[in-house]
Amino acid sequence: MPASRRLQSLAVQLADDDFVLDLRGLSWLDPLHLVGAAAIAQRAAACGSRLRLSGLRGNQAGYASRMHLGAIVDHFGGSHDLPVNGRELDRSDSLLEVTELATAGDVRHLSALVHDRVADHDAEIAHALHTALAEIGANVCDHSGTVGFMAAQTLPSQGVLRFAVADAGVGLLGTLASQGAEDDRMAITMALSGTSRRQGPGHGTGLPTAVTVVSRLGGEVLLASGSEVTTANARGRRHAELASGFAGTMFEGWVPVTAARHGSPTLYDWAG
Amino acid sequence: MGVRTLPLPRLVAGRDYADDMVSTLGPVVGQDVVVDATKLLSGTTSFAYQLIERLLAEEKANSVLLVGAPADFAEYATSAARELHVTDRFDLAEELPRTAAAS
Repeated sequence: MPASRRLQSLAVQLADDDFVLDLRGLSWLDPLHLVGAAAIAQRAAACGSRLRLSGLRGNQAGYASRMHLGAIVDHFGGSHDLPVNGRELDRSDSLLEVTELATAGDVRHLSALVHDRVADHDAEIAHALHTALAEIGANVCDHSGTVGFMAAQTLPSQGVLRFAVADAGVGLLGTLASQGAEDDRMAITMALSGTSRRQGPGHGTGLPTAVTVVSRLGGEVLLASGSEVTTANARGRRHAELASGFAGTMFEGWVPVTAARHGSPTLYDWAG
Repeated sequence: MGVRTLPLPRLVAGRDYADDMVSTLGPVVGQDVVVDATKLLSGTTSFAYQLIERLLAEEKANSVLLVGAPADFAEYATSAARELHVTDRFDLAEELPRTAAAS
């Protein structure tokens, strides 16, 4: 499915001064949607409003609850119709529930956590996850001006492992306008090419490195900010316009995981 | 001129963490620093750049020898040394030198 369509469901409506997010049209709920919804909940609270989340049913609602989306929405004063304590202890389909990251220490801890949950199973994927999550998470702390959210999940039916980071901060254009970015697409392109608000050796290398390590494994990254989304893999980049913009920045990476790897108990049996 | 050893843990990330690790060494002006990366599994570009910048450009260590680093991290550190124009004081090795291994 095209990236722009996947993100359509995160369109926010305003009703009685509340932020309303209706996810009923969503065919597949990914970590990207979960962290995006969490960031919207945080933005609503920061604006003195609240998020009303609705539309998820059945397995999707149970999954969102297990991934702690309901708890995040509650934390930011919003409301939702997700089941409470639904199989809360069954985290077999997650690598990392939706988790807030506010400091460099949070980023280091969470990226290490995900690394260690995958390392026994596949060292190369673990390295890619650690690198990408640590670099993108650091960008959130350094540039967004707010907190971010991180989540990861294996999807045996798709043969992939997906991970995502989102924040409702200033966005890439807000960060890179001082470096010459004139619109969202240009800002995304500059970020993927290594431009940073901060000058000097090594600044701006995190995002291109994340793309490199994910692409090397045959995966792909998605970067969305404002009204634009770009996907990048070993073959190149694809840009698209979002029907409804996202106030902030979303990053997603996925890497292929073979059926044999999914069969490994180490990828699932970490909660005990 | 002494030799100081900085052991890296399994996972390193972030410029602030590199700062913290370098600070544990105390002053290293004029000293040779062995960065023991034999236990390192994964490290980020930002950590590598800050490590090299702090040790060679700011703290004025005489040299840095990065030992046993995974290929990606070795490449990040080498790129950092090149961009900071300190390649003449930076080197890679597979194994710890005898003096550092014994300390």
